[in-house]
Amino acid sequence: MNSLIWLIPGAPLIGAGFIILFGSLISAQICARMAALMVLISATLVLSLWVELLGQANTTVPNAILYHQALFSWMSIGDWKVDLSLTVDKISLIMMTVASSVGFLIHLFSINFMKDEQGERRYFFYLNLFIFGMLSFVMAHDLILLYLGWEVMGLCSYALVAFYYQKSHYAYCGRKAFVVTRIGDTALAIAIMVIFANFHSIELPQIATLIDAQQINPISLTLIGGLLIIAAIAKSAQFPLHVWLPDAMTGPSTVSALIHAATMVTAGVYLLIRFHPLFDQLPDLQLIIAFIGCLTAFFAASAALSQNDLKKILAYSTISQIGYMFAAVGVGAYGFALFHLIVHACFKALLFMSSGVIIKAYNEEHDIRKMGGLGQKMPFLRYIYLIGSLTLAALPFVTASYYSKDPIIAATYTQDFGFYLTALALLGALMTGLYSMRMYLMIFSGTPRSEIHPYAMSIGMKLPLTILAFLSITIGFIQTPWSWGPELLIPWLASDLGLPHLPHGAIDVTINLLGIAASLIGIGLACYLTPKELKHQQGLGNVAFLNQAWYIDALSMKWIVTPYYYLCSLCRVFIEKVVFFHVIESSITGMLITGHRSLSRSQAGLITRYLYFICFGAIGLLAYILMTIYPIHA
Amino acid sequence: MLNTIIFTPFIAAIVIAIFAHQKNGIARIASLSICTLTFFFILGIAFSLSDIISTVTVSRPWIQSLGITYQLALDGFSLVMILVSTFIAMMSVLVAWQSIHRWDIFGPLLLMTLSGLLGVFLARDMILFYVFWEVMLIPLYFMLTQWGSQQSHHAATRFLLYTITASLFMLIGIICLYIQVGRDTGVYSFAFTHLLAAPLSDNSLWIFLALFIGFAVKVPLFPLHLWAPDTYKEAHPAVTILLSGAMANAGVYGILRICTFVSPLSLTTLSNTIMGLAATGAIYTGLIAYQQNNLRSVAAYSSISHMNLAIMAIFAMQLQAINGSMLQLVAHALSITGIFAIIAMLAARGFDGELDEMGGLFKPMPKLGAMLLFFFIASAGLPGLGNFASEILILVGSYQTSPLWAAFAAISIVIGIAYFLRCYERAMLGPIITSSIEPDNKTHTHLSDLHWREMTLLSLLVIAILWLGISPDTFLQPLHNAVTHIIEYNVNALRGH
Repeated sequence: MNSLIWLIPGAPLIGAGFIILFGSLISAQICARMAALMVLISATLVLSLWVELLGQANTTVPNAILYHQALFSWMSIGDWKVDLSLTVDKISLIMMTVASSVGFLIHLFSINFMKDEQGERRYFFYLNLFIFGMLSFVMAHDLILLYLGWEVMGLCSYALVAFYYQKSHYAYCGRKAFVVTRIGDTALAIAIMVIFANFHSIELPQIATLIDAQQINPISLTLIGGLLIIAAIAKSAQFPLHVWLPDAMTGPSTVSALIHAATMVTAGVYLLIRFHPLFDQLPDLQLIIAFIGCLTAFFAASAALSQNDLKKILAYSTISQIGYMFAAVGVGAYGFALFHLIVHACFKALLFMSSGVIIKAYNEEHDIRKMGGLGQKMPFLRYIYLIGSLTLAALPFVTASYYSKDPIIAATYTQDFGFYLTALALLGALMTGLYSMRMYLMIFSGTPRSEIHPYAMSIGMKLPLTILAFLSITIGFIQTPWSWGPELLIPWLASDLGLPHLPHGAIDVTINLLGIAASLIGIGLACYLTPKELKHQQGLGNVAFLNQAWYIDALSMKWIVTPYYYLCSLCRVFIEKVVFFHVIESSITGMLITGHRSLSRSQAGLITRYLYFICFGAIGLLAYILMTIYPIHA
Repeated sequence: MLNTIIFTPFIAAIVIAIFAHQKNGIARIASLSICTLTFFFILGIAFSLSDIISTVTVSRPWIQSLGITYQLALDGFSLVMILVSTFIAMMSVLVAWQSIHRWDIFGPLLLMTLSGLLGVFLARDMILFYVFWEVMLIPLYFMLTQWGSQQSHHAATRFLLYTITASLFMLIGIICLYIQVGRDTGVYSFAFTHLLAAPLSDNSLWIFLALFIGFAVKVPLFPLHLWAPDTYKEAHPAVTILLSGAMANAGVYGILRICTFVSPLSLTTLSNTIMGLAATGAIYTGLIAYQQNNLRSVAAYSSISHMNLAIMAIFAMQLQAINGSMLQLVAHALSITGIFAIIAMLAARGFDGELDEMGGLFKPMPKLGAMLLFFFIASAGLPGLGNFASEILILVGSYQTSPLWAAFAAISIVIGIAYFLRCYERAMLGPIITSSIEPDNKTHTHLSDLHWREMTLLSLLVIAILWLGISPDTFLQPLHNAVTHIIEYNVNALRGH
């Protein structure tokens, strides 16, 4: 098994390579099937790793590397040794499972969903490359391979968000996604520079060991931590670098499913978890992460309340849910962050893929206020979507999200300023219930507000949705908060990530009850408010402040993008044109021309003046020769 | 053997000029085959020299009274540089293939430049170096003026003035160096082994600066870059490829081969200043590139931006950084050649690079669009491709010397992607601009996708970039000795001080 590790990220890469080299020779449908097959190979290999692993008893060694495969030596210059290799430990195994399995389901769904679209081969090329990027990112043994995966995902997100490139706005959105996430990439690159300068190694296990040894000066550690946080918030679309994600909805819905569920936005969370020994030593940074997480969870949920574009609701819900994962990382509950990541991947992939079908059924209409009544026409989709929405709303006891999100909310209470963090998280949970059910009710209940073109889903599309819906419900039961229920995940991860601190006694019960209440109140409010909004044509969707997501995007345009543009103009017009060309270069040429003129003026054709010149020159020359022959000794 | 490398193109140039007069087709094929021949010859040397340490040398007296010798030598660094230069020249011929109609002139000039370039990389005598340096520049001036846009005369004049001034600085530097070393040691000789054997005792800063400015103009280092953007833009893309892909390398090569040995003390003194200048230049040109409305200008400024990083790395005087700097020469040459090759292909389809006249071209030309994206992201430093390998070395290495400037230069990662994507979006994405579809009189065939010659050309570059990105060690191995020599020399000189 160990010798086949390379094939896990390798298979999608081979698929991508094949499509770009020979794709034009074969039909697009075969390309699509082959792309899916390649991801299936990855997913099967990952599952077989699980099988092999569960057969072994010995899984409690701390930070155990379960599998390791060296690939090749990339560079070796002095102590900068980059031997690319793949590593599987418990954390990466979970991420690999999510990326490859959910990734495969998305591929499977895409085969039919993207049928006969223009640029189908291009789509599957980037899709495969995306999975390759994510898998090499999570399996990286060193920072270079990690950075490679990280950047490849950025490129793929660009190409896929701008998939319908003929619309200028879509191309712009793709560019925005790449450029904003590249701010994070820059931070990560600088982090690599600082890490190498301090640790003289870029291998992740060795870095972790050195951090534990506590020999690095705390200022450098804080710097590294800060840079990693910037990298993570850009990639995971956290406040205030979330601006790219709501705009990244212009690609096909399956792309959104891939970006939001299986890859990309979870990368930031993984990066922080990967560096948890570092953050364990820096409580201040942890507090910052927790605060960013809770604030984002609250902010994005509030923004999602007023969105009318179906995909934008889902986009903000992703930002909000990732916020909970950040909050979990910030309070040291890494296991729960991973748990929520798994759950989120299931229901978010489900919601996005179904939303693609919904939008097709309404003839490319995105506005949920113009939908409605789809429940009677497409009952299967209705139940699937209901499960997804309820899981997003974290309906107590039934859905998986309840088991993953509520412990995070409880854990935030143990951090400094815990009361405020928990309050933000709870308010976020309440709004989550509200917006997710508002979305569901607006689409499926009531009477159709625009024409419906029922979309016949093939079995290849229904199957992934069914699997994801099943998982959205059941996967929660692997980790229950009760002493009598199964507790499989967190104790299993404890050897790598430690056990999270949870409040005890009355506080725990109170927060738990509040969490249940928040979810239920949110759902209830949605059932109350949504019909009213439809009736009066006035409601949540009209709150401009929330609809514009607190105007953060407009503010960033005004305070960052425009000044950047001015800075470019300053360089181009003022410094380059005026200072360099007109002042410096012209003055030099001016001086030369003046000198040249005065020289040429001396050539005035006056014989007497020439004679003077000759005489003085001859005398000077004579004097020089005499002085060199008979030097004056003072 | 080294003479063969240098003079094959030179003699071929003369032969073509004389015998292939007015015979366009023959001259064209002859030029390409000479370049290819030289390339494979050098490649053969690269493979046969299993032990790179054993250098091949030629040494004959030339003007003995002045201590000028005819010395050539080949080491790993020179080998990589001549290999890249010949490859770039080959690409340049292919790029110019159809758009040049006077191959009986263009071919010889190109071969002459190549010959000068190879001489520069192989010469081990200051005067010989200078002679080859001028041999490489003069044909370029004619290529600039003869084949370019209407404004190319103006740009060519500026190019010539900057170049001559820089050469003057260099010549003064060389002569002062010669005199100074002569005074120090009592032996007057222009050989590298003599001039660059020990740090100068006196006047070192001025000599260092004179030589450095002479080279830095070619690179071009900010703020000596003023000649470059217009020249790169107005010249024929094939000439720009030679200028930015091969000529700029000669500048950096000169700094690495000569300046680093003249005065380690001055290098250390200036280290912070020049690193700051280069880092600022990399950012500054990146910012300007963001606002260019011509694909050629974007490429020109991006080229300057990347070459400034190479200079920054030299002044970090650090193992990884110097390796990165040398690798950057290869990586930058390949990616910028790709971009300008595509610019030439767009020119053949009637687009002179103005972004306002393009738009939506991905639709009719998906292969060309995909290739352009590849070269853009390669230039922007996507991991797995050539530029990343060199840039991460430059940044990681420079950070050890100057965290501030290295971190500042790292901002070019995001600035780079911003200008490239903006340019790509305006050229390739969005709706098709109608003016590009309906040209004045021609049919739609001018929007045809890449044909096989163009595809071969670009595929060669893609393979080279991928190879460099995935296995940079093949290029780093031959460079090893040269880098170690530079570092040890500088470290020892400073320790002795």
